[in-house]
Amino acid sequence: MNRLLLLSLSWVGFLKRPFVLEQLLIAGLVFALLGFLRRRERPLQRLPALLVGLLGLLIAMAVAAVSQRRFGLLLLSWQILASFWALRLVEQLLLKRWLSPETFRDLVSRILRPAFLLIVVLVLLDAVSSLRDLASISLGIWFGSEIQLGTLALVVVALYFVISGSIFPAQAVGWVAKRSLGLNDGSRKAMVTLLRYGFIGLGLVWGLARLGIDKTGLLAVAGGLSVGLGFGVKEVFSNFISGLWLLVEGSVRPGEVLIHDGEACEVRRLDLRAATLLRASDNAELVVPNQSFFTATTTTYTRSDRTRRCSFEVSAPSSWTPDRMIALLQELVLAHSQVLPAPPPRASLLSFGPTSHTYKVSFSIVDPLRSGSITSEVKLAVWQRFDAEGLLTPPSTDGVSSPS
Amino acid sequence: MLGLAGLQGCAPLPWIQGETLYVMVVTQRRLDWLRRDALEKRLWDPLIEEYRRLHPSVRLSLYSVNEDEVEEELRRRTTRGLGPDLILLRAPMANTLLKNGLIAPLPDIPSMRRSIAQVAPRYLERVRIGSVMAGLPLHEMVSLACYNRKRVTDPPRTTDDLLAMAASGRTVGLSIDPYGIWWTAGTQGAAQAVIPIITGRVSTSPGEAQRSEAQLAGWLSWLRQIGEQSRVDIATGPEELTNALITSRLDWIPCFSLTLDTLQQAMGDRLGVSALPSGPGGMPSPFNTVQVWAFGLDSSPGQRQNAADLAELSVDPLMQRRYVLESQEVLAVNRMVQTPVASSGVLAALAESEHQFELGFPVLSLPSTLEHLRQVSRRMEAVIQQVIVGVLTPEEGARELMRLRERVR
Repeated sequence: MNRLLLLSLSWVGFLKRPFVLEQLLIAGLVFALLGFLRRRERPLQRLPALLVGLLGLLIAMAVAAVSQRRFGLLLLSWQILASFWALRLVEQLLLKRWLSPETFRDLVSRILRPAFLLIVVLVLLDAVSSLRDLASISLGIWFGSEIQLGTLALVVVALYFVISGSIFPAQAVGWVAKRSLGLNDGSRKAMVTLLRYGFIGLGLVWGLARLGIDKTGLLAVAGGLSVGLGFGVKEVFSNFISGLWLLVEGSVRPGEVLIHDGEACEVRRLDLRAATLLRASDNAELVVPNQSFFTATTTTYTRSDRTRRCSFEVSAPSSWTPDRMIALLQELVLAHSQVLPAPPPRASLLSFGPTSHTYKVSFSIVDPLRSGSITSEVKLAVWQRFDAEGLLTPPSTDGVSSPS
Repeated sequence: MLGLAGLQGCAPLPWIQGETLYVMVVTQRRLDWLRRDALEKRLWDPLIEEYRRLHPSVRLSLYSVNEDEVEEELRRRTTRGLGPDLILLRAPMANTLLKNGLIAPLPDIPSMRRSIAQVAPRYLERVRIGSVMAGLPLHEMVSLACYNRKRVTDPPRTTDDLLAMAASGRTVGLSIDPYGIWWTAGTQGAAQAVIPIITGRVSTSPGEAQRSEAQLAGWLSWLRQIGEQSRVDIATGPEELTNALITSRLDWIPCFSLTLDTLQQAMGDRLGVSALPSGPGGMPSPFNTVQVWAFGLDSSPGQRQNAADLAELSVDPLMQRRYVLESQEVLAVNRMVQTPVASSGVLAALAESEHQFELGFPVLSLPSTLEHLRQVSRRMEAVIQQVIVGVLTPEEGARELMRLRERVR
């Protein structure tokens, strides 16, 4: 660990060298100018400021080269700045056009920028120290294997990129599978999630193998962990297993519509611990532990097909015969553009009395999340027709009931 | 600038105070696998301890670079002003770097003159280029024989013993590189024929060419013969040989003194060390290198002085003796330090190997550059390999080697 500290701080001694100080001073001035321009020239979207920085470093290098001074650090600063500029160009000119905003944001913030930062840190460390020697520093014996800093860093970085970046290849495979196998959207999303877990699982196995962790030691830890699972993290583990099970079983998949607490919700994501549901009535996102789907009955409208049967009751005056009223109600419902012709809408007589009869109307729609709004629109159409036919006066209806 | 100057002058932080001395340790091409040991060796402990005692405010920052990458690394670091203050490397590499302007010649200061005066002239000759010196010799390393004591009770003193040992069921390893096979040239009387190939300096005496070709053919015949033994394994390099000895796959190998620490740690009492066997043609011609200190180009005056102080301390007689005794893998270059052969069988083997080198294969004592040595050894290895596997007859191989000495002039 002394070597790690010494190698990490070894750059300090370089500050005693005039060659280094003058280059750092020039690079610092150029970066300060760049920062000043970025603040002042906001409408210029920073691109010209970067170019000014690049040009400034280039001139400084040319002057240093002509006057036989050292300029390697200026060149390094120029390379880093130019690489950042190139990365921004690729992001703005190519990726932003091709990718959806969400994918673009994820790709940039989770993969591209962290990768760039990592490369810059490695380059700077290699410039002032030796990456090879840093990598070979021993961190001690873990589970019977000597762990070196380089191996550990490689595994941590690789796992970060697997966890952050596995979504992209998984989505690509899912898209191909959807096109070639004709999967529906829910199955595609489930496949993407399973693939992602698969990639992460493989990454973990690779990481353990790369570290050379002794399996016996690992089994001992797993034994201890199982006791911990029994007490402390039982819920977390239960949610994780439930999530995997639900994905494999396909009962709750991203894209499906189900009833949660009496409200129609769409499953947005199924993560390791919880599912994210979008509640249609108020556009709220609900985070529901996976375990609750596993232990409670779930009403879904999209298990085998996405159509939903809606129904409501309506009272009508007895002045109209049931046959005539049933025909009218079926005609009104079928006239709505979102109501499916097959299976056909049905109206039936539930009860009759001296002044009014009660009917039940049922119909099918294609978008389960819109059941509330479509039912309301159908009821409105019924009310308007009743009003036009004079069926609302005297107050003879019991009102329009809610759909069951 | 003012900010940085202020930081230097007034900062109370302990890690930013004092000086740092950057020491680059160049690992040899075929021994790069020992690089971690190169930085953590016991060899360094006495020197670092003593230097810290004398210069408590100076931090030593050691890092390693592979010999194949050192030129590029120095070029890159020097253009940034981040080059090392001191470089530890072998003599031919120092000569190459000085010729390419990547290191500074030894500074002409009193402490350096004192240091040079302490080093035996034969080591100084290896780094003298015209009127300047590329480095200050630190210690010498040699080829010798390593064996498994459990399997080999009496190490072979001659190549006939070696063949007899192989015939009796013991496994022998050789490798087609300077560490593993050059020593056999002397045993078969071909050392004098190999010298012109390496140096390119061909004698004009009548009949020399025929004599050399015959000697080379004799050497190659012996190599072909030994390569046909089922108990003799021809490895790719010293790493494979070392691992094979550690895992008891081989019982006897030629080894380089730099690997002794690794072997000792892995094998303990099983490790036996002796000088390389002689042969009907004379003594072996072991490979030998001298490690030297070279000075970087970017040091501030204070860092240069610290570097010179470390170099001077390293050739101090007491320090040199401690190297020899504590590391048991190097020989001193200080003219006043004798190898204490009575105290250790390993040191006796090292001293005998050094003696064999001086008498039988003095070619490497001449100043040479690394690219020249590499070029020669690569071509020689190719020919030797073709002879051993039967692509060329020994006579054809000898003719190829004779052609080599014309090319390397």
